[in-house]
Amino acid sequence: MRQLGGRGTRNECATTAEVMAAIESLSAEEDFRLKRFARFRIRGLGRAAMGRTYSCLLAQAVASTLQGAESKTKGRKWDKNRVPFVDHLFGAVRSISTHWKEAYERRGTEAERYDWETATEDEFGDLVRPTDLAADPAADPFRSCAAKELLDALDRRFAKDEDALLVIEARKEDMTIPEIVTELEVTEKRARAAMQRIRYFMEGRL
Amino acid sequence: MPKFDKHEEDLMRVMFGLSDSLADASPSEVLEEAERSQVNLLDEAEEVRGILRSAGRAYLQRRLRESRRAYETAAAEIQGTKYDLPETAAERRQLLESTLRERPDFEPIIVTVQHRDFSKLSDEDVTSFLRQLKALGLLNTSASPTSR
Repeated sequence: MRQLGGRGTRNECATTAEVMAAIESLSAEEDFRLKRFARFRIRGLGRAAMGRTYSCLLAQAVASTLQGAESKTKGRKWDKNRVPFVDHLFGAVRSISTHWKEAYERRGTEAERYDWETATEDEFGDLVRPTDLAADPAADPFRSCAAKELLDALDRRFAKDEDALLVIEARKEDMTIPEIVTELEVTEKRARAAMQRIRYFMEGRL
Repeated sequence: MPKFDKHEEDLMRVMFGLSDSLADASPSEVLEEAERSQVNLLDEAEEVRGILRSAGRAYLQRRLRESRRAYETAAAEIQGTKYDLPETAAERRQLLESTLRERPDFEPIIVTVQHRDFSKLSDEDVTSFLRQLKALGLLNTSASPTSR
């Protein structure tokens, strides 16, 4: 993990100009990594993504960071002395996508209230009407089948790859890499290598 | 409430795990994957940079529009409000001068680069400054009725 300041480094939230400059200073490798990171998050969200793409997710992360630079209470603050910008964006994308998932799970009552009562503006000033994003509370057999097909494809592809299968099963239980290492007695190197093989397989399926 | 079934939940956890593993991966690992996937790294980077850049610009432009709207509303409010300022131009100038004598700290607000020479201020400028000071609650004048 990349590190900036150590102990004794003072917290300092970046200004809007610094955020805009940081966007330009990202390396090609970091840009590529961000795109794939966001695409995995969107693929994982499934129907909770509500048609939003990885670019929506990245755009929201930037808007939220700029809001944090201007506001004391709103948005996400980038502590420029402690966290590399790319890591800050990973955190923002992670948090926004988790929020989308939770918001999706809370849905179901939008149609019972008037638009004018509940419409809000997003970070870009676009009007968001909850009814536009209303979700059908019923289960979605198509999505469920698609998810099962992909999980079956993973099982088939890695049928002879014990580490990868173990990692997949562990992830279904929401285990992290350190937990996999401790509880399943796989070395960190093997666990990470398995993750890389799975990522590579998934690349064409995102 | 919409719920995910087991397959959807499982897939979500696997995908989120893959994204986290990517955040922790070394740059050489990521470059190796890009090469194996025959991805043009520079094209990909340009695409992502474009998304981030336009998201930033869109946000800042929106904030600028909001600030301009707020300024125009405040300016219109000041223009639309009647303040009890003196009737004649000479009295108004006198009021501004005496205010600045009493509160020299106001001077930098009024004597800007645009208006270096106080004596050359037009009556319109004088009235505008008095209105602004009044709107800010920084001007004490007699309560005599006026048209300004």
